[in-house]
Amino acid sequence: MKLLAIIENTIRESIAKKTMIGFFAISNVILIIMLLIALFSDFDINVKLQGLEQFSNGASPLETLVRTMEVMIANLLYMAAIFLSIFATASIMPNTLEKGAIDLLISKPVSRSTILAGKFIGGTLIVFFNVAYYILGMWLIISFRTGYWDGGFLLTVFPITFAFIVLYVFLLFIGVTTRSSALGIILAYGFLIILSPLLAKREVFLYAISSSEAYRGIVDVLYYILPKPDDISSIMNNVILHSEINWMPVWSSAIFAGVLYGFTQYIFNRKDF
Amino acid sequence: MDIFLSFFESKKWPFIVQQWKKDQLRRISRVRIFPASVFPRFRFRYLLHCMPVIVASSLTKIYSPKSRHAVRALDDVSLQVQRGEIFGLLGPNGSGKTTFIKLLLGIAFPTSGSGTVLGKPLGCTEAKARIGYLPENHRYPPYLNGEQILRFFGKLTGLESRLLEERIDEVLKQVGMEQWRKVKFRKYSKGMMQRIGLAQALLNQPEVIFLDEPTDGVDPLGRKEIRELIKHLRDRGTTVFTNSHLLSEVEMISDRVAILHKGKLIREGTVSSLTKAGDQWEITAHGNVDSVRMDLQARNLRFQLDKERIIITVPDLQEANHVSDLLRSRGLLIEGMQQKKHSLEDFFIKVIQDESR
Ligand SMILES: Nc1ncnc2c1ncn2[C@@H]1O[C@H](COP(=O)(O)OP(=O)(O)OP(=O)(O)O)[C@@H](O)[C@H]1O
Ligand SMILES: [Mg+2]
Repeated sequence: MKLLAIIENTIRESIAKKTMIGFFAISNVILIIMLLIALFSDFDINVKLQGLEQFSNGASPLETLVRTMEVMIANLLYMAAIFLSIFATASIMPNTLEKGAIDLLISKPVSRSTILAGKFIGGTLIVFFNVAYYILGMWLIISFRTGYWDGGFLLTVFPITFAFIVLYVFLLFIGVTTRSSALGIILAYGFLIILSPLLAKREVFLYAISSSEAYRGIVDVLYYILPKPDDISSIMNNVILHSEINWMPVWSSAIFAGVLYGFTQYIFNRKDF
Repeated sequence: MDIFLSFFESKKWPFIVQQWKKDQLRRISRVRIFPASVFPRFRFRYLLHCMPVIVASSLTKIYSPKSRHAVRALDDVSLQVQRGEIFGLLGPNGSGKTTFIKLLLGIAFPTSGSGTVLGKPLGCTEAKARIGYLPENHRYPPYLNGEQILRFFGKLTGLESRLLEERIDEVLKQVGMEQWRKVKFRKYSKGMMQRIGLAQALLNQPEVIFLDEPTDGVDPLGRKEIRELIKHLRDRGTTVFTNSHLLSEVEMISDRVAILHKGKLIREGTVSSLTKAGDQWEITAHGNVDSVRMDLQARNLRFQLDKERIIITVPDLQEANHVSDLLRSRGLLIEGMQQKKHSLEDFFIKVIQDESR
């Protein structure tokens, strides 16, 4: 099947380009460090548990301890994973659009939407499997060490992949319009590190700049329109802690991604190569 | 799931072809060239054969039309290529040859004008399954070997996997790349890349094949092989559309050529009609050249001397015979007499110079 062939080729390319290997290697290094810490640290779970009893109102102290640890690890991992995945996938679209390569692809009986979909699904799968591997390894280490097995941590693969997908659509858009992977990376990082946290905590930071209604209105609109990787990391914490999830950041980010994907497709369909 | 899909794909074809034939018949019966009762099958085949494979009507392409750097790459080009022809599109660098092919394949979109390939509108996915294309400066995934490249593009053409493997063996043999099939593309020499590109274009046994500079970077022996291959394709009924600067090569194989200059189609015709230099004849002889010099000057004939040899240009066949009698009577030996031709290159250069003036 044509779509499958394109997906397979995308994955093969990222393996050949070594970005995937690099990604995988970094995951392994972190896992090994974690494993060493788990094996050799003096961390005595029972001592920690005694100290915790007074904080864990009602819940078992072990549960609270493990989940808190998992939240800390997951937050570190969230940023690292998204940074790496953006880096690993930013060149997928620009490479596809290289002169001599895209001509040939379009001359085959595949529609331009199949090409874009193949690149989208391929990139997503690459990241999904890498993140899943990483999370699974981490989860096994934590669970073995503490003896507390809880599935919440495993589910974090979904918010992480989701946050990536939204940014990946943006990378595809930049790729199709400018054929530049560097620009995609810079803008995505800028958004991730600066704009998204500022908007998520706009009451604290951005509102302080001016009390004008119009200004605050604009800030709010921006917040609701743009994707919300920062809020999604909070959702990830809620997933681990099994607490209530606010779905607004998810669906509003999904709408952004969907609209941007449609727009990217529209531009791609009309582009001369 | 997979089995189901490949089954579906393999069964889809006959249906599409049937539908296409039905459409043709419907169109044909509207045309009413023959009364509907006379040999409907024969009539269908006949018309199918006569239908041009490539039709371009007033194709115009302006790149970035709104910017200051607007480029009129193609200007009102109309052209038809018949089934089974080898058609050569010539032109200086930047004259729009590649752009023309890109428009036909839907890689770029015309600013105005229209066209069909195999009876379908430009860029139609269904028609592309019956088309082969060798782009200029083609790039393949460098991490794949020859065989994997062919497999990837074969899958994209929708070839069913067993047939695909057979075809891969066949085309690798056709382009002489069998011993390189397991070698990674990045280790290929330029000529090998070109051959793999050609193999890729042949995979689906296309009805029409577009070759953009097919012999670029290929050694003389390889070029000859490619020419043979192109002729072989033509003999099997494939229509070949090729772009090239190598005029002697185009001259050797093309049935018809067209010349593009700054996006405009300035000449079109069979190679022989374009290169024929009127009814002029050329006589080559050797012997005592001085003895005829005065006579030739008296007859107002142009001639070139080369030691003992003389080459005389004569305006027509009758005069050529008179002159050869004269030469013989003076004891010169006639080496040859032939109708004078420009080479395609001479013609091309002359036409382009005239246009640029
Ligand atoms: N994608 C593009 N964007 C803008 N201009 C383009 C593009 N592709 C081609 N052109 C311009 O269109 C004109 C025709 O280019 P084209 O590639 O069709 O020429 P060509 O006849 O194939 O030349 P060559 O013999 O060098 O291959 C050139 O002036 C070129 O600069
Ligand atoms: Mg060209």
